[in-house]
Amino acid sequence: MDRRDFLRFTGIASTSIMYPMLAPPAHAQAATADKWRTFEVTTQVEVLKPSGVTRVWIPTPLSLEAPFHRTLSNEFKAEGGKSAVVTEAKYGAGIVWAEWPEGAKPILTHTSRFALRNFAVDLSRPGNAKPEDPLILARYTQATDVMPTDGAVKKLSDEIVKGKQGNVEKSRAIYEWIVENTYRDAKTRGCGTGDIKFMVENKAWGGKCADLNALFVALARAQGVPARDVYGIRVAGSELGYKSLGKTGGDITKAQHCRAEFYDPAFGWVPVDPADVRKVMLEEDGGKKIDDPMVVAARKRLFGSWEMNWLAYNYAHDLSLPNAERGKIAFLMYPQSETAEGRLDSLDADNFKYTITSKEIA
Amino acid sequence: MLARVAAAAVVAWATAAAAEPQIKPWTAAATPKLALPDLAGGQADLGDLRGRVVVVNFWATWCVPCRDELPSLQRLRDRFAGKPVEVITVNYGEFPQRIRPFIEKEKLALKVLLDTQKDAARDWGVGGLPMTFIVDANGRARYSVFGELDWSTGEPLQLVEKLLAEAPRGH
Repeated sequence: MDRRDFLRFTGIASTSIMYPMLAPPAHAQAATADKWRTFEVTTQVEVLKPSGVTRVWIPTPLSLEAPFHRTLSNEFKAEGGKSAVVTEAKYGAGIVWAEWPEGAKPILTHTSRFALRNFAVDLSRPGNAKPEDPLILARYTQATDVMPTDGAVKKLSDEIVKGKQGNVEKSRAIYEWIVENTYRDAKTRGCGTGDIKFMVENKAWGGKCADLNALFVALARAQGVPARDVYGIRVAGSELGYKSLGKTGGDITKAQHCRAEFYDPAFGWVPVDPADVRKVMLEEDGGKKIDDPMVVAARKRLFGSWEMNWLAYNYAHDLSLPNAERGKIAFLMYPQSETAEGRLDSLDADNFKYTITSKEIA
Repeated sequence: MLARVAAAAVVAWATAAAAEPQIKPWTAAATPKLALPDLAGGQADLGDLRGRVVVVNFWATWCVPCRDELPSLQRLRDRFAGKPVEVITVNYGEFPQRIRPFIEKEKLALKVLLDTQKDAARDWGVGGLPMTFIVDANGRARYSVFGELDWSTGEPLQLVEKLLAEAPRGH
């Protein structure tokens, strides 16, 4: 355990952690007047072919304050092993960690409760957000292992924002470019890998949310505009009429989705989701053109607002998992596991089985 | 114009190239190492293949264009039987129990290296599948391509023949 990297760590088999109700953060623009909705999400992970010491990691709901999110509790259980909730230092990512000795049956169950409400920033009026911590802004302008901000990424970004002034104008230009020039590829595995260096150098503009929204983040950061991916999962259906942008029925095992934010001094953190515009185009009613009214509405809405039928996990990139034998992961959105055989593939159902269920409780 | 195995768009786990796959000259300074266990239970090292032109293909069983492309790599290997040309396939992130049935079903006789932890893919800059490299007889990577090609004809075949002609004699 590296105490430089992790703030909170306890070696226990199961526990429940309650969180105080949080006030809206000072740095963000006021959210809409929508009501808070409370959800419970349960994740159960089982390693089917354990070998030697087995470890599992699950992302927790967002552990930081946000105007659209309140974490209420985290409960976890790992019979025959030990487990803990860890908060990673750099990004504040919450992680449930569990470890079992050889011979144990590794099953980790994590149940979280949290409240969500829709979030919108009105960019048509003068903003009055309080300043963000400069250290945080610096963090979200940095390059990551697969998200360079120089070379081909900078060149493309310069072309896109040419003549634009200020963070909002530049971010909007990047958003529109992504909507018009990329596409959602249904055959992309999982949510994609977010390898922006590869994507830009190969002009490979297809992908899913971890690719397309990470491209937004990289192109913004290349201009010095603070931006971040927000990794999470859809927990309920859309109430706005978009079947493709929600998940009904309670089983959300494959509903992982990441979004993005950029920062403007006047407006604070602004929510965006260009990847979901392309999802609407691909999936609604068998596919829609870019000038379809439904796509036009989504395109307008997803620059500055999020429907909160989605749970945010964290903002972390290049994450070292606590007590891991293997190296960093690009992001933590799927459950992770290691055995003596090495790191397991989160999408390999032969070795690694998990279910995630969601229900609204208030 | 490069030949293609199928008309479908080239797709990968991370990204998809809607345009025709382009074979690019290798521009990085050094050729990464490639030393991994193989599916037969042995070890394989690219460094041991000096004197031979080597086609290195990264793939996975879940990657549809990879599955379509592999038979053409087998044809390439068969075409150069007895000559100093090797085809090495590197499986991305899967375990033998998943790979072996696929190789047997497809009747492939290609060497399969196991990059279970994806370290080699990281070293070689593989951000999407399939991705293929051509290494000359001096052990230097010379070309790379992201996307599915027919390796038994056209430009891919010509590049292998070109590097074979450049290879030192006596091997």
